[in-house]
Amino acid sequence: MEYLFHILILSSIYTILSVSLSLVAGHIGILSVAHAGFYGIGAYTSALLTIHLGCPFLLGVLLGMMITAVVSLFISIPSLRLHEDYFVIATFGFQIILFSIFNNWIDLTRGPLGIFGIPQPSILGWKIGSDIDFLIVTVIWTACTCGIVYRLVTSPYGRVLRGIREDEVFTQAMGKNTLWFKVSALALSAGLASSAGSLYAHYITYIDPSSFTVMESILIISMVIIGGADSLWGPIIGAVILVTLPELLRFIGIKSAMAANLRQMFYGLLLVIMMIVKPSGLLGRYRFK
Amino acid sequence: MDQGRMWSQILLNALIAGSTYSLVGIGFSLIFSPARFFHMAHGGIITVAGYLVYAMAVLFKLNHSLSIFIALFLAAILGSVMELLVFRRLRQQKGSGTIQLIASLGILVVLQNLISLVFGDDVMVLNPGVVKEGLQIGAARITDVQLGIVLTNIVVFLLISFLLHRTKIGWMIRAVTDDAELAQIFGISVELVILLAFFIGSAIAGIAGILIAYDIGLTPLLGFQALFMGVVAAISGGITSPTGTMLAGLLLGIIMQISAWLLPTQWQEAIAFTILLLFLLLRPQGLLGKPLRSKKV
Amino acid sequence: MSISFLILSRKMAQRDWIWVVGIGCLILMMILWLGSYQSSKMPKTEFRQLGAIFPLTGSAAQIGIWQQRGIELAIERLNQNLTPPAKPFQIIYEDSQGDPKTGVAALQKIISTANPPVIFSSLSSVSSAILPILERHQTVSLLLAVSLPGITERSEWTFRCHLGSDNEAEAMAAYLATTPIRRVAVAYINDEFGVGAVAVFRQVAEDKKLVVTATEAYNKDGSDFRTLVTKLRRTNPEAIYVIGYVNSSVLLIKQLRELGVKVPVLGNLTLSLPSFLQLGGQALEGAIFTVTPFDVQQGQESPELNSFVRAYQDRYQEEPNVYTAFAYDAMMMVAQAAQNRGFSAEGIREGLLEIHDYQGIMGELNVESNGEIEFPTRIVQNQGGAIVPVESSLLKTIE
Repeated sequence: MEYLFHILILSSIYTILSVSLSLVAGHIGILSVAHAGFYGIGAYTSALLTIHLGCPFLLGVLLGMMITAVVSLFISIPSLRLHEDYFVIATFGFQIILFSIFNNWIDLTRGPLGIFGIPQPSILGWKIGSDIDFLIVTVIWTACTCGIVYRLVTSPYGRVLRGIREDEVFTQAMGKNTLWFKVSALALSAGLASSAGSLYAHYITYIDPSSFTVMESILIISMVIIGGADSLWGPIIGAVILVTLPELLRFIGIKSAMAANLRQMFYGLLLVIMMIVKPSGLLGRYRFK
Repeated sequence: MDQGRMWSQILLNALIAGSTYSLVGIGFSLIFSPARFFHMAHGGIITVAGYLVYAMAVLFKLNHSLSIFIALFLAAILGSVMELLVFRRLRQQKGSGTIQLIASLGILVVLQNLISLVFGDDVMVLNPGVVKEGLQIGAARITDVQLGIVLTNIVVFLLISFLLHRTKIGWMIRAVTDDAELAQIFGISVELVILLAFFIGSAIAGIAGILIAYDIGLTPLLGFQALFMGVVAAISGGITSPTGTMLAGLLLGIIMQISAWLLPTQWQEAIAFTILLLFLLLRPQGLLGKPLRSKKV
Repeated sequence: MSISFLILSRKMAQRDWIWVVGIGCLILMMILWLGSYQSSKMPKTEFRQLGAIFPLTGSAAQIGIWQQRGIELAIERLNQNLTPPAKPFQIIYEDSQGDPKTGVAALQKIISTANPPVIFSSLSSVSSAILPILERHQTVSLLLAVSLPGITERSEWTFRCHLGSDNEAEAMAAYLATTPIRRVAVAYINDEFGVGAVAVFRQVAEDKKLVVTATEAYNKDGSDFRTLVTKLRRTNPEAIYVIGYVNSSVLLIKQLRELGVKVPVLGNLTLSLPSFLQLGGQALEGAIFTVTPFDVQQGQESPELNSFVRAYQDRYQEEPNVYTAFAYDAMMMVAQAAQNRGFSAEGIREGLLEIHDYQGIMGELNVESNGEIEFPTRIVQNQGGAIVPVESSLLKTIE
């Protein structure tokens, strides 16, 4: 049963990531390759705060979100003024820089040695020890995240975001400060991704930089794109599919060194075919303009 | 060791590294100019070209220069096939730069894994076991392959500049770069020009891949790593300008080697991308680029 | 230009639900499938089951496959020489892909299907992620190819059967102290293997009055080390210690030679494997390595080792290497512990702690009270592609 719980918890954590990315990717139309980095900042911040300062779990998550939101400004303010393609490259660079910090600032992050013994969380005296407890917490938090994103995108704020996506100049002409909308949406998206990182760190109780690489970012992007970036259910389904698929392969039992390559080739091919056949994803309607 | 000898070595290292960045960047920017998207699969072509030479020269014992020639031709064909099968179709569907970028990334992932499936993840070398001590130039050392990299970069740069500014093909490429619609009105076949750019650009990627392979060896990740330094060079040089790309590539080489000297070497990658972000912040059009046009309405 | 953004995506809601229900059904089917899979596995009691979480796919897959072979050979041998009441051993392998969270999934699957008393685990990051769960389940873990220093201190249920990179660094420093070399520069791989080793090396070298002139980190997937080499060269070392176990370590050594550095190169056990020697060619000529006494060519004196090598060659048509040997010895020791103290987690833990002077293919092995299995090391040199002992008088054994 714990095996199933584990897969469900991972699916939830990745759902938070993909839904948070869909806020910017689907509704403003800018693709961030730095989400694995934001995810990592959350994981490291709350892990370090709880270990060194004995900070309570929820406060750690919250501080992680705030720090990540601030960090996202470093990337959004310079590069969001530019064309979307440049933003992709800029976030890519930012992802490399963040990974480099996780990996090389050994005094803070212990670098490749990783941080172990991250305490299991307790919320208001409730000690979350077993997997089922943790599943409840992650599912609640995932639901909250989806709720927040859904409320936002159906609000006037979300309409402005889609306005920017369809026609930025027009939206500007309507008197909206589009840069502010883009920057704030990215900060929020980064903050939500960071909370997924905190959950991951306290669940696995061990983190090292290898969990926050560029490939992780590409995985998150694939989830969003396959599901459909501007729909509510699309990113959720994308996350569930891409987390459970490799586990299903475990039962089919392809266990040669080839399987990993074949799986990755399948993802790559899926992206190409998706772009040709249905660039808006399974459930979405927006195709990157 | 005295200070002078050390600095001449570091500058030479910078020249070698900068030349590879510039080679990759020139090919990348040649494709970007008319096609207007970030062609990530360029990295895949770099890798494939290197492995093709390996397959022919080491596995099938063909003559090295013949294998290089065939590999370059195949690399150019591979790039053109990508354009014909995928990107042309995406353009016809009015796919944006981001869609083409994602598709291109997908192709990169496929190529990279195909290579690692066929050849494995281990490093392959094109001249196994042979280690030549570098030639002495002044107080510094450079191997013949590295000298080849530096010279090839100069030759390729001159050829591309000549092509762009002195030939009809170059004139058409520049016309499409400036305004594809207008070029179309004047009777230039945009599709053909883009195909040509893919063909030539991929051949340059092949040259880069083969040279890197001879210099340090082959891994499936070779193109991916080379590509990103090339992209940084292209963007910070002014993405449609080969001169800017080359200057930025060399400058990047110098900055990275000096920073590797001053700081612990593991921060090199972070420094390269910090330079990129600084450029985007302070001079988004790059060293020699024209100011970016605002988004199409 | 479009103003379609004014229309909300609610219209799609109905079609969305079809997808959601469809995929929900799929997941439900998967759950049912898992359930049936589990129940079918449950009554298998005719075996003594053990678990193994190795990287069987992905970039570290080769190591996992070598380890799997070692365990397979050990089990074959054990099951052949079974005394009747004892049940045969069986191993459940799961793939970690070298990724911590996938490793946790693999562990959870093993625990819920078989709940074995012992789990073999490979790679530092995966092992770090699964240790807390194993401790909660009171399950013994045997770590293979884990070089993270001090990992066995984290849980009393943890044992390690691997020559740690810190042990190698210690042995290398001790060896250098016996030579005229006094100034050493170090290039270390920028991961837990290198970071752990360089700290130990620096400390031991200082105690032995050696001068570490420079320490520089290099990245696992890097390829341009020329400036790093220039930096090392500038400090005028009399030897350069390259800590690492991957291809870039060999590339670095090649670039050392290309830049005209002629001092001796020192390296780790893994770099002395034939594939690396072939890759390095002339660049590795004369290089000095720390290795374990496991040595295919010199196996004549130990019948145990001889029969292992023969069995391996018969089955896989190639020479066995040290990763296979570690796994083989680990499995044999677990079997002995189970025989002495019973096939349960507690029994095997106690049994393992009692093992002293065990005659394995890696030499005479002892299990320390902290769960580390100590391996004797020796110093060898590459001469024309063959590994030969560095003058037998200098043969070192490190406690």
